[in-house]
Amino acid sequence: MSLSPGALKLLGGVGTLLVCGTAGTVVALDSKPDGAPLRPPVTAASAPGPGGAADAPTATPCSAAAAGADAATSGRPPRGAAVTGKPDASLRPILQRLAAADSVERRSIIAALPAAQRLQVIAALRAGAAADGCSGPGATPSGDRGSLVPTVVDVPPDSATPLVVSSVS
Amino acid sequence: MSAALDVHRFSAFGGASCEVLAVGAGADEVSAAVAEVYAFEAALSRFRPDSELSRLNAAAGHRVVVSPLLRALLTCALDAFALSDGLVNAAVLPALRAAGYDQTIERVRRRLAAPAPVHAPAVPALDAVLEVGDGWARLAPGTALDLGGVGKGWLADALGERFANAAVNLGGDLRARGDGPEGAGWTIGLCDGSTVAVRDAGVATSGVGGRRWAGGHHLVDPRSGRPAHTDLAAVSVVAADALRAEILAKGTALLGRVDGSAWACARGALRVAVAGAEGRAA
Repeated sequence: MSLSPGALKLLGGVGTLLVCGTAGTVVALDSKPDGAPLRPPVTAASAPGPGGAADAPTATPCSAAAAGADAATSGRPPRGAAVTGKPDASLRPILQRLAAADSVERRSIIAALPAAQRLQVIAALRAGAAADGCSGPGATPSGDRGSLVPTVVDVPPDSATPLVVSSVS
Repeated sequence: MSAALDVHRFSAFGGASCEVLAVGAGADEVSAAVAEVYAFEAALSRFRPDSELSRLNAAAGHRVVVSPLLRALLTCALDAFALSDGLVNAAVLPALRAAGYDQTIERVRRRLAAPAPVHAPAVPALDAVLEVGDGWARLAPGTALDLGGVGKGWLADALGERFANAAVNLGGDLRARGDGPEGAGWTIGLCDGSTVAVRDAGVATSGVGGRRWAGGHHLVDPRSGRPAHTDLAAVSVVAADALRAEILAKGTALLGRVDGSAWACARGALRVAVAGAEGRAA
């Protein structure tokens, strides 16, 4: 069967549309392939040096303004991105019970959990209290101690042996 | 009359000395805190191939479901990177391994000779290689994380906050709550030999001592990818919490005597103590 030049051009155009459209859809669904770097890596030469580090403070921990917060709060992975593993489904009912409990009940519920699960629950509660998943005053499991002001006072030499020594581990 | 002080000392994090000192707390409460330290270590040790952190490192390049605990620590690591201008970088692990710290510190120290020098890999910016979402995380291919310092600081805070009057010390990362056993605060010895009394604060000490081995030490400078060359042997920082104190102590140790203290004070340190290479106050 032979086709006229016009028909061949029409078929070629349709084919191009199909191929490019499909490729574009794939890219749109998963715009960052798993193997690609998230951002260009920074070499040692371009990392901040002592001079740069001595500049004015830029951010405080656990704030949404911190660098990386855009990634940390970017939500669920885009459609089409595979995620390996399954979340621990046992935590959700515990957190629901805690949400409905008062502070005394919360402590009791948490105390009854195995240590590993208790850590997960505390991490989830602290993340909720701090809003950004790190730490913060008042991010206690019971949430009933409020914010406390840190104080530090010099102890005269030879007046007492410290209760604790902070040393390089 | 002072209240009864309960002291529980134990070892964790590869031989680090840990202790929980509590006033008026039940034995169950203290035991629960200690159990959580071991559970934390099991979940986040880079030396355990079955730990959640090891699984994330092994799956670099792929999105992986993460628990609330690991998500919290990854978020803290990003915050630490930002607060420290990149000096505290959890992506330092490949450089740490190249420096010889590729097994537990006990095994590294048992080596008869220093490991052959390995080219120090460039340490990438953490926020360029770590993506954290709602219940998932992804590391860029070829990267791996060590959450050691940030993890101990976070855990000291999490455990310390549950007590009304206690000090939780995890290998030098310490969180104090309340007025201490005598009512005048918790007395803490710092690296320069001085002592402070703190209430509701964190203390941390970092430096080139502690985890050393033939030919190296564990304080890798992310700017060079090599064990740090610093004129400070140790730095102690008092701050609002243990995590911030840990970040600022490590950053100060890396920056050295001239720039370190001012840098830490500008970022929330309440007190900075430094010890020179001879171990004396600098």
